[in-house]
Amino acid sequence: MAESLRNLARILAAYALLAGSIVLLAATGVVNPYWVQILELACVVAISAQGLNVIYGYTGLFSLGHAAFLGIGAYTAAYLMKTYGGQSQAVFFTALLAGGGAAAVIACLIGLPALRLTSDYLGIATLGFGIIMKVIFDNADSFLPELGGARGMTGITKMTTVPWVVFFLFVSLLIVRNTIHSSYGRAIISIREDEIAAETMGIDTFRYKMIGFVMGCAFAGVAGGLYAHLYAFLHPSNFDFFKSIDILVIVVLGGWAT
Amino acid sequence: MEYFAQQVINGLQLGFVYALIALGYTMVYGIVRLINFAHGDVFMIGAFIGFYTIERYHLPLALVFLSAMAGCTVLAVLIELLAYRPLRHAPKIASLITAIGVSLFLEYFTSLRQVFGPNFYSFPRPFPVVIWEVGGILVTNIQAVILVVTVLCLLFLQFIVFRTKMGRGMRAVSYDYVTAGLMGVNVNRVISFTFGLGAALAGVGGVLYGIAYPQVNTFMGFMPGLKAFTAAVLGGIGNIPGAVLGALIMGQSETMVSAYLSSTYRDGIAFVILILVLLWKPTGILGAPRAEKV
Repeated sequence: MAESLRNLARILAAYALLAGSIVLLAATGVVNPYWVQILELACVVAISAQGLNVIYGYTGLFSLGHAAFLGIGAYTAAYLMKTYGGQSQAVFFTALLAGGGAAAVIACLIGLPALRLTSDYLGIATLGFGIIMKVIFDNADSFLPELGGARGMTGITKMTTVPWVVFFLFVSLLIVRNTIHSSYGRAIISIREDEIAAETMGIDTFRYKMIGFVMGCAFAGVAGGLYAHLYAFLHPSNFDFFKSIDILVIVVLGGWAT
Repeated sequence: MEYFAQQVINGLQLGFVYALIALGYTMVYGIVRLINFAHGDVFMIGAFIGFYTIERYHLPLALVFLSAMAGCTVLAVLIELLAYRPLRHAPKIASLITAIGVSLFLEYFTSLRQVFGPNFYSFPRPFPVVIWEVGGILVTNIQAVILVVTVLCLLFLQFIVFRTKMGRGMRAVSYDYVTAGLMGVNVNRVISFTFGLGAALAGVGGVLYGIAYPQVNTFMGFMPGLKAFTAAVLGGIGNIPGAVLGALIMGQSETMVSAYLSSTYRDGIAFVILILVLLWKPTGILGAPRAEKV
């Protein structure tokens, strides 16, 4: 108990230090707003990459449609903010969680059938899903005019700030770290190492694959919400196949499962 | 009814072009288990070779096809040699990302002004278009050319794979790569040959695509490439008749959606079908179920 409290204190201190130093640098004009925006974007991308890391790096599922979940989160959060939020921070927080939730629910729906496929076929199914989602975003204005469809969604308030992105980055890192070191995490890693062996050992592989997949997609959804309120503009082409590849490259370049 | 039949014809036209591209994907995947994302861009290069040989040099059609085939073959063998061979024993993800890298390189390198340029070019008609009316349905001689050329290519491919020594090598390597090597098959040569053969078909496909939809640019390869790959998966990857069947289904579905729903949903529907088929038969329509070895 004492140790976990000390851990918590250490994490909070690290968080305050990082967020505080960025805010301070920005306020004193050492880094200009452009650099701050890039730092924020870096954190947002890091969150979504962390999501794919859970899916690909730890669980070993080959997903080429990660950007679609980013898009789902972005559009959900932006829509909620536009309809209910205005400027309120509380609504922003809820909208982000809702974005993550929406991505998780859809991940669940797509995962139910798709996760029964193996390696390359799963990659292709998720790739196809990514393209379907892009087509839906492109045509979104025909059922919800606010979403803007192929013209892009405008009029989103710029809500994403340094404390928010750093906060979510920390939370996502914590969740990933704690999950991976739990019994769930060991089950998930065993699936990556050898699915058949894991299954023989009595691990419900489908269930753990699902947990990994949904968790990763939820991170992407939250990151999408942050992304939407960072640039205050959304366009379907932000969430196409190449974005998925970008995230994949980030994960592989940084070393998967780290 | 006539409208429907007309759409079937249009879908066949598209499906045959997809089939030529899908064959390259399915053969390469069958042998090295690599999704060769650069294949769509080899197709684009084929279309450009067709464009230049017709526009600048006014070659006869047979020579246009032959030069596109030769150009694409050389390109694909080079890609395999320089980009994929060094990574043969690396994790699969490395080859996949390399394939995407090669694809982006080809797209952006060729869109430089010194190479092809970033513009859309209109593809010249190599022969005047003739329209025949068969029972109320319009058929063009372009569609006839596509049909004849594709069928010739398929017969040629069938001959190579099942009647030649190289074809036997290809089947052996795709069945078991290590054992084939032990049995004296020159694995590297077979792989190069497969890349070249697939690319030659993609080159033909590129020229046909240019003739049928007369516009080329350096980014044209991406979507047809992706759809042809999907077609290969749909039919059962690694399976030659499967790739053709998958491509025909893709062509039909896309044309039907454009005709009866809306062309903005065109790109999506193909993938909806893919996911549905994969759920019903995870290895594709004609794919053999493969038992996982422990």
